[in-house]
Amino acid sequence: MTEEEFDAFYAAAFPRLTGQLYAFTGDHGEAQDVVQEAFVRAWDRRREFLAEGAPEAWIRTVAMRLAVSRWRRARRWLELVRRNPPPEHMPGPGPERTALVQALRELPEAQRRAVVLHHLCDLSVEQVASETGAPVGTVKARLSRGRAALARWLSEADELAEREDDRVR
Amino acid sequence: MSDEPRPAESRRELAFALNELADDHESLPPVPGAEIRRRAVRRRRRRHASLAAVGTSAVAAVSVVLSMAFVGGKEGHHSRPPAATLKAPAPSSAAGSLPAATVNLSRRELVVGGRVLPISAGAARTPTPTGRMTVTGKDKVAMLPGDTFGFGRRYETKAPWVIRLRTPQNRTNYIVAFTVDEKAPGNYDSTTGWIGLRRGDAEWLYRRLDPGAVVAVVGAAPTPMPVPATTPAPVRTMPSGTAS
Repeated sequence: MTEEEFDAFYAAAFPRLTGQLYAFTGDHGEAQDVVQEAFVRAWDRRREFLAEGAPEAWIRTVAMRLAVSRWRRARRWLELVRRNPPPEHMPGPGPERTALVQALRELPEAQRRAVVLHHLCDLSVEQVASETGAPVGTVKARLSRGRAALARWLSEADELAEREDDRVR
Repeated sequence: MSDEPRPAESRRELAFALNELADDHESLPPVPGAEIRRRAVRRRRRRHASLAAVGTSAVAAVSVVLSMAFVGGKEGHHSRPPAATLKAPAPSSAAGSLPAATVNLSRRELVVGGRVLPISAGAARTPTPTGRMTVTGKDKVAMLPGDTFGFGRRYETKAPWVIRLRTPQNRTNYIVAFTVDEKAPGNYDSTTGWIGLRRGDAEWLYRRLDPGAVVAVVGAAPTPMPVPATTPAPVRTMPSGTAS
C-alpha cells in the first residue's frame, strides 16, 4: 500500500467507521479518537494490516478493542475514586441522547458489539463470531437478547415521546 | 426468537435505525492521512530509540527484532543476526549467546562462519519452527522416529550426521543429511519440519557445532500464497506462516 493509497483509504473509510463506532460507543469524540488511533496502528503495522485482506474490518476491530479497553480503564478509575461499585455499564458522556443511543448504552458490551456488527456493519453471524472470537451460538444468543432489550427500550421510549410530543416520527 | 413478534420486519427497522444513527454521526477526518502516517512513523522511531538505548548497534537487526516483537507476539522469534549485541533479558539459558549458525528459511540457506549451505526445510503443511534453537546433542548416525520423515510413527529411519535442536517451545528438531533427495537443499522444501542439508555439508556442520551452540532460525518458507506486493522493507522477514 503506497502512501497515496493509504491516504485515500483513510479519507474514504474514516467517516463510515466513526459512524459505526459511534453506534458502538455512543460517544462522538471517543469514536473519532479510537478510529484515528486504529489508523495510526494500521500504518505502523502495514504488513499485518494488509495480510488480513480486509483493511476496513481490521481497523474496525482494532478501534472496537480500543474502545472497550478504554471503558474498562475509565470504570476502574471511577471505582477507585468513588470507592463504591461501578455502574453496570459505563455510559459514555456524549451530548447526544437519542433513544437508540440510550438503549444501546444499556446493553452489555458484548451484545452491543454483536448488534452493531451484524445489523449495522452487515456481517454474517459467522463473521461476527470470528471477529469477536465467540462461538456462533453465543453470538446468536447475544443478538437475540440485544434485540429484545432494544425493542423493549425503544417501545418505552416511543410511548414516552408520543405522550410528550405528537410529531414524533 | 419468540420475544420478537415480527422478526424480519423488526430487524429491518433496527438495521435502518442503526444505519441512520451511524450516518448522522459520520465525521470527516480531523487530520489528513499524512498526519496519521507521521504519527505512526514517530511512534516507530521512539521504539527504535528505546531499543537502541539497550545496546543494539545494527540498525537492520533492530528492525528485525522490532517487527518480530509486535507481529510475532509470543511465538518467540528471537531471530538475532550475529551482528546484534542486544542485551535483552534472556528467557532461556542459551538466549544470551550469539547464534553460531543462522538458518534463513526464506532463502533456504544456513549461514555459518561465512559459509552458506543450501537447505531444505519444512513443507507448507509442516513448517519448520523458528526462533533460537539450542544444540542438545549430535550423532554420526541416528535412528529417528519415522514420522520425522513422514513415514508414520511405526517406522524408524536411519539418518547420518544428525544434530538435535531444542526449539523455544521445548520440542526437538533436527538438522540432518538429506540423503533421500540431494536436489532438495536450496531448491525446495519437502521435510516434515526438520532441516535437511546435502551430505557433505551436513558432515562439515556436524563437526563444527557442539552441544550448547545456538542456531537461529528466521524467516518463513516461501509459500505459494501471494504476499502483499507493498511490503516496506526486505529486511523484515516475518515468519507469517508460523505466526498465524
